[in-house]
Amino acid sequence: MTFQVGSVLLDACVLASVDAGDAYGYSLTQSLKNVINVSESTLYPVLRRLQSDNLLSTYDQPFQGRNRRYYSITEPGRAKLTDYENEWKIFKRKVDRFLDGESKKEGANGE
Amino acid sequence: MNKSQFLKELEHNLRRLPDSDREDALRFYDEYISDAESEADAISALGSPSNVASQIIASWAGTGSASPDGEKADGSDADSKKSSGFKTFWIVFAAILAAPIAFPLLIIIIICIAALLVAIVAIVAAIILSGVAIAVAGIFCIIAAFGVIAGSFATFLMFLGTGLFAIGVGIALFWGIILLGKLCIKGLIRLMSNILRRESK
Repeated sequence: MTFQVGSVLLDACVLASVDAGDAYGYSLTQSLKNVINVSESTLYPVLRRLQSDNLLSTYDQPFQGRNRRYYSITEPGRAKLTDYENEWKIFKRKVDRFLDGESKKEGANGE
Repeated sequence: MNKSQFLKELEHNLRRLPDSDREDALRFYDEYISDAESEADAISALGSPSNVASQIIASWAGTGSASPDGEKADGSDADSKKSSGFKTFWIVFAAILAAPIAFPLLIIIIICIAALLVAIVAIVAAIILSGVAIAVAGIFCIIAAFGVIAGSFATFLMFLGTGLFAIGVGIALFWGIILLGKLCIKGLIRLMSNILRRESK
């Protein structure tokens, strides 16, 4: 059983991945697939939206006789990523504490 | 299915989208499949072109038909905003019809959307007519004021004031309901986009 990644967390992961290094469509999809369980057809709409929100920008680089489109993070994108990272830390801590607390309670009450 | 078949079907499914949006999507998937280690694996992992297209259309409709080149269709003037709202509606609706949704569910979805649309249009039309009627009544009231001016000045002022007030109310209703109507259509489009997205996961 895997956890569903909501659209906000997906945005955060995409920004983080591009922040780590400019990437093109396929490479970005593969690195994300290693971490979160997204279907391949989900990525393009996300990238398009991040780009139109000016959190990502694109440039072309020639590769084997054709052009390859690379995505890179923008300044607003970096700021947004920092926001996401802070929110994630808070969320993660809350969930950890809650799951931990609930299971301790369970251990004390249940037999 | 090979790459060119996939892209051809995808292009067909995206035919109602604006040219720049469609070409941007096709370019992405063309590069994606070419860059993949195994074209065949990549194509099968992507799923059917119809699914891929549904996701693209759902996302496109949800963000107000913005193109990545930085131009936003939302930033244009009121008239084209209204027409792009209805155009977007039909594009998403057509995509829902084309999506692989089980027939009974599809019928229910269509009926609900149609009902909401009829309700919105009916209410907007009714209030527009009311607004116009009130404003016209206001005009007649002002005309009547001048008919009554020979009698008492106070009565003249009362007619005049009431007439002006009515014109104001009429105009406010007119613009208010058009604004509300646009918001409702946008909300309906967002609802339809969510349905499309959920049915093509």
